[in-house]
Amino acid sequence: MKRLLARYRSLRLGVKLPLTTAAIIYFAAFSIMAVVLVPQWLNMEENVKADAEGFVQSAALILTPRLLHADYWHAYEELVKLASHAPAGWRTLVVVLDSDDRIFVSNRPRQYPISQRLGKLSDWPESGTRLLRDQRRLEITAPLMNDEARIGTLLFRASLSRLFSFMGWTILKIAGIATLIAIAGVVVGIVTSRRMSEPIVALRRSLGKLQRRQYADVEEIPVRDHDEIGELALCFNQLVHELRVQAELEKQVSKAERLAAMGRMVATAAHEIHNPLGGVLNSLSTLEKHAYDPEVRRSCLQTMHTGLEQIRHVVDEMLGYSRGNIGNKPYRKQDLDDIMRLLMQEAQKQGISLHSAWDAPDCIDVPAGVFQEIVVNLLMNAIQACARGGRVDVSLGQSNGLAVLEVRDNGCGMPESLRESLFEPFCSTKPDGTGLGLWVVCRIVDELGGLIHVESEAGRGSTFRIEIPQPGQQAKGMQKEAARALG
Amino acid sequence: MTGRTLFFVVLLCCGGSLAIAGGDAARPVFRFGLTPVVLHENTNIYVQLERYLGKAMGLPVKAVQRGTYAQIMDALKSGEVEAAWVCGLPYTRNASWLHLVAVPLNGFDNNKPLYRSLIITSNENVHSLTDLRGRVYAFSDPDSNSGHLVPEYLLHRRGSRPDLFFRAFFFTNSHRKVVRAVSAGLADGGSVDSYVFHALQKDEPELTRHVRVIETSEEFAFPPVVAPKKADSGRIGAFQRALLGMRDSRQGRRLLHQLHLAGFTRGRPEMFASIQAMDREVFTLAVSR
Repeated sequence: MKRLLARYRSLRLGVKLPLTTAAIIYFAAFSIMAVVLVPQWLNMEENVKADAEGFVQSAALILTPRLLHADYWHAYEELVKLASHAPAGWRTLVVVLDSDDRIFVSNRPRQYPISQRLGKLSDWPESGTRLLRDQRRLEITAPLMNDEARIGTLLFRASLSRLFSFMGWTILKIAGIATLIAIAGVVVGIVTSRRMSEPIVALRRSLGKLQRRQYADVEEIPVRDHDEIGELALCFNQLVHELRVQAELEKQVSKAERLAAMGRMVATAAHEIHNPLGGVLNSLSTLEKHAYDPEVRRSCLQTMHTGLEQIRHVVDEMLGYSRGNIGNKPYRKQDLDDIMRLLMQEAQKQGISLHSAWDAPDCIDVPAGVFQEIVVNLLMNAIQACARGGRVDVSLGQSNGLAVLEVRDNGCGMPESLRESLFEPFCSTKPDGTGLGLWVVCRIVDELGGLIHVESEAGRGSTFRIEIPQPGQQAKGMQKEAARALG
Repeated sequence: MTGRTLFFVVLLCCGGSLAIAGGDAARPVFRFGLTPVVLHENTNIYVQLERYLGKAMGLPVKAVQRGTYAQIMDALKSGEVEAAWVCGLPYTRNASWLHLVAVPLNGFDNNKPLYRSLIITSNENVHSLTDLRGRVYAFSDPDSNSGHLVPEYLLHRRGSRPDLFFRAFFFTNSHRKVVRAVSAGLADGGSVDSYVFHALQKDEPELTRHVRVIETSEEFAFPPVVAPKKADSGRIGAFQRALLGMRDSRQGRRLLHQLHLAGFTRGRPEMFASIQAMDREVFTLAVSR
């Protein structure tokens, strides 16, 4: 029963609803049948008994004088007349026996001829009424009395087949009507369940797409009715619309943040260029004054060459970052070194030491462009969080097919209250901060299917640990595990 | 008007009424007796017979039905009916006071005033009267020639009697009911008038479908129409003329057609001699045993 119930519960709505409707209709029909037909059947039996006993009394009254005068013909005529007035379907059999238990008359003379012995009628009841349900017949034995002397016996038998078949037909008719109603109910159930399940199925599909942030592919749920499902569809469609608007906004904000980040990069680069450019200009001025001094000329040209090399390097990094040259290529150690070099001057200017560690092969299988954004954002936040004399450590490694980036600082740390809204947009403690850095990091990590772990303690610094799955490394890892298992 | 005057007026009125009643009494209804032994209870035929006879005789005619020949004979004797259609046997037994009015012509037997007694059965194992030994038998009327006397005569000729020969027997008081009893299987055999049997074969074929004739008697004079000799000869003469002239009118021919009769003939008492002889023989044999 439990298994059946469990199976029923796991049925689709499109099957469950018509099935339930049909079951309810059948249950109602058979309940009505039981409530109405059973008492009616018992009542009919009693009525038939009473009618039959009345019939037998009349027959006895009429046939007694005929038996007394051995008037076969008139006894037969009256018996046939009487039997013809019996209820249709009784197929009445009346046999009158004389005092010697020989047949005096019967309404079926061929089967029960005059003056024959009882023979096969010996199974009749001794006296009284007997209802044989299994044989579907009623039997009565009544004495024929004259002046308190028994002069014969009247045997009566009525078939109740018609009564049974009437009940059978009634049950069949009710079952038939119930089946027709059940079919109609099933059709209505199928239509209703479809109307109900279609928006739910569409909702389930759309929720899956929402989960995968495929807002553009999310289909709107058609609103047919204004019932609960209609209202649900309306709410969902509204939600989808709002999410699409939000996604569009996020895209725009993200773009703005990238531009802002680029602006900060440009400022840093300008600062980077400014120093060597000053050196180049100084060397050029010295060269103009001491153009004929070979030592000065060589030294100036050397300084100018070094300065211009530095400028070109900064410009190359700038171009690489802005053009996204590194794009979706794997992230290399060189990419980390470049960003370290770019941020080193800024850090040193603030009296902060910047350290990096690369504990991995030459390249890590993550898209370098977006990964570099994560590194830049986390490093710049860490630098900004540190006071003079502070320290920022960045390390990149691999663990279980994951690229693991860890940025640790011993800066001011974050209060508990800030940690809850750390990755929400426009959340910042810095007066000139946009509050979008960590939100961008969070979005990128989400897109790459990674995780962010944050440990922070106010006044003691923070650690951001980013774990990003490397598709290639995971496949290799799985192959290695399989080989190990086989080996 | 004084009380005495009023008394005379009432007396005169009553006298007038009695005079009118006396006028009807001068032309009393002619009562004509019938039994269902030969004719079955077809009220329509009785009504038509009354109409025809009334018109032909110029008298109001009433067909009176009785259940048996004995009852009809009593009615004739008492004057309750002036004439009756009876069987040849009661006629011969009461010929001393009965007058033969007419004899019908059997429409199934060359329009002769003759008929036969038939022994019928619906039992597959019965092929002759002998086969009916120890079985159930149906007679029509105890005073019927074809329905009782003839088979009884045949049994006496074989040295037996109905109560010895048959397991059980009964009277239905009607030839048609004998056919019914045999057809239903209540009786294994029965005696019927050939005229009635042939009429039933034509009018109610379903009743005779499973019934076979296993014995046919010699010819006898057809059941006659008789009247007491003491009856009003003028009225009986009118009645006789009406019967004999039945085939001359359209209404009469239609009635004869319905009765399967060809008409009526005057007949002669000698025609019934064979029945009388057979009756005497049966009586003699019965007394001698």
